[in-house]
Amino acid sequence: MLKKWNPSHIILPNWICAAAAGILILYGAVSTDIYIRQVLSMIGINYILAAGLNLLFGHTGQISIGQAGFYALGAYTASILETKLSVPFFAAWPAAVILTGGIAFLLGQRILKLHGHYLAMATIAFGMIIESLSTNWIAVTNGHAGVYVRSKSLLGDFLSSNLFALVVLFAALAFIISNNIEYSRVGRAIRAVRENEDAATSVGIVHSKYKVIMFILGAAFSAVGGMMYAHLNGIITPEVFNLAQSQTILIIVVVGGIGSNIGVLLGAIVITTLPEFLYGFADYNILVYGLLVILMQLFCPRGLIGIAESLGRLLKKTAGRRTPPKAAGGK
Amino acid sequence: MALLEARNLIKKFGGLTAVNDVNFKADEGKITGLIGPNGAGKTTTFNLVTGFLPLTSGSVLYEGSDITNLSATQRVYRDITRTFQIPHLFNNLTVLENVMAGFYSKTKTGTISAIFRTPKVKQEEDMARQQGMEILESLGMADLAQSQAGVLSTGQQKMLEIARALATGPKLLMLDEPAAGLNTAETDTLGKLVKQFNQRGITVLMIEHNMKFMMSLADYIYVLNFGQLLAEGTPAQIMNNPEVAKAYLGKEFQKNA
Repeated sequence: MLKKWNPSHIILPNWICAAAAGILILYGAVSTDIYIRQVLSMIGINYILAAGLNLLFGHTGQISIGQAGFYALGAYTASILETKLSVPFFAAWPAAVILTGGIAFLLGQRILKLHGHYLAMATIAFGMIIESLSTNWIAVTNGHAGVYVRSKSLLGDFLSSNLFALVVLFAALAFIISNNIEYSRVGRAIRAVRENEDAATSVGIVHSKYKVIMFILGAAFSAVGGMMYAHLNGIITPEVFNLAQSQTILIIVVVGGIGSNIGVLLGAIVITTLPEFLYGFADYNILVYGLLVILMQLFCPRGLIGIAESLGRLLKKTAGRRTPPKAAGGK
Repeated sequence: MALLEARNLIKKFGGLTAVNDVNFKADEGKITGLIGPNGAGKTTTFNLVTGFLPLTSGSVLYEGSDITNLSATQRVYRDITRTFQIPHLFNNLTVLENVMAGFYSKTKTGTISAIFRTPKVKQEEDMARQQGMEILESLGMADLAQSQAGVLSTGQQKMLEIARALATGPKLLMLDEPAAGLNTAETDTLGKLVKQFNQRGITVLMIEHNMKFMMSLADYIYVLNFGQLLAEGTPAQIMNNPEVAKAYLGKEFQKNA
């Protein structure tokens, strides 16, 4: 699959992303439509999760089907610190990100020596361990009863009524960080690792180092997503962070366009809003997801971004046909 | 002066001794050749010298110091660069990006700088892009800069690998069968290039099966056979060595020479 894939050359500059975030935040401030804000927030959270995985999977070529584990770690750590231990959010949030990153460091150092299917299995197992812990370590996580997060008393009036703006802000940050990494020495190094580890070694790139760094970054992104989700939703329960969640994150990257920042954003929008359109199908949701992934893999392995690029080329062609270039050569 | 010296290299894979007590030197500023029949242990020797494989015993000296315990990437930082028998490229990256990746060891910005896109990051990118283009131009590949590396012909891929290796700024360049898969014209161009950057001060250690190519370029040649050193000498000495002829060159070549 990766062999067929071409790097996307579409670059969305950081300032456009910042401007879009600004407009969204303004919209959130004036809008009273809770439903739309909820959906947009979930797009933001899903984008943050998928952008993290894209750094690891899309750019560095290392799969993870356990991102929900880090998502849970961020959500639970922040919530437990704030709700049970009364730690203020400005201390609890960095603590959650650092703890999640630390666990990713310890885990990544060991499992990133694995390749392909073995790595996929190890990350699935990690996700299962975290899910099982959040279900069964009742003293800390309250099991299926979940942890309540009273955003209003924790964050104060202003922040709790502007959580949407916070999500957009973090999503914009995730986008800008991804963009900045992509066009740098480190960005090239991780793509080199994805393409050929021996060749990367031959120019001095220590592949194990970059795999671990991107694993940590992906986990940190997930932790931020988890914190946002917890405060937005008001309660967190183990079911939210199951294997299906890890799959969804992977599906967003694959459907959007592996390795493309804009593609992943498109993927987050489509995959998040899809269930809203499929409301009548109820449990058949997952069937449509599955079909979508199979069809995308068969007909456009480069994802939504690939379709967008092909459409762009087609438009250019038809526009060119309408105004044919003047024949070269003069008198 | 020996830039590189391999002492008593031994490599065992289980019960098989692939490289058995091999000694050789690569003199500074010279082109040293490594020849031998298939399976003689040439590429394994390369892997031992570059740190891609750990030695069973023996030592590698470089610039007078022992580098046996350095990792493969640390050796790149000591300006030892290799190419591969089958081109190892970053297939989905552009030709230019492949060469830019070669500047990795000569640049410094890390992940934190990248996240904040510091001015230094941009500066390094511009440097790598500019010097990468210069290398491509000098190899006559500038018009391919934006093509995907994976779609190039074998000859172009081999050349691109050399371009990437040159970007690392090597003192010692190790070429593993650079002429394999090239046509006559490409081989001639390659020969001129190797001579050119050797004259600019790059020491070359080279494995090659194309005898004409090797004999016209090398200053000194080592012959491996069944993991052991069979002979060494100047190209003329090697061609007239009956042992070598028997093991490798064949009677006909000996007659013609």
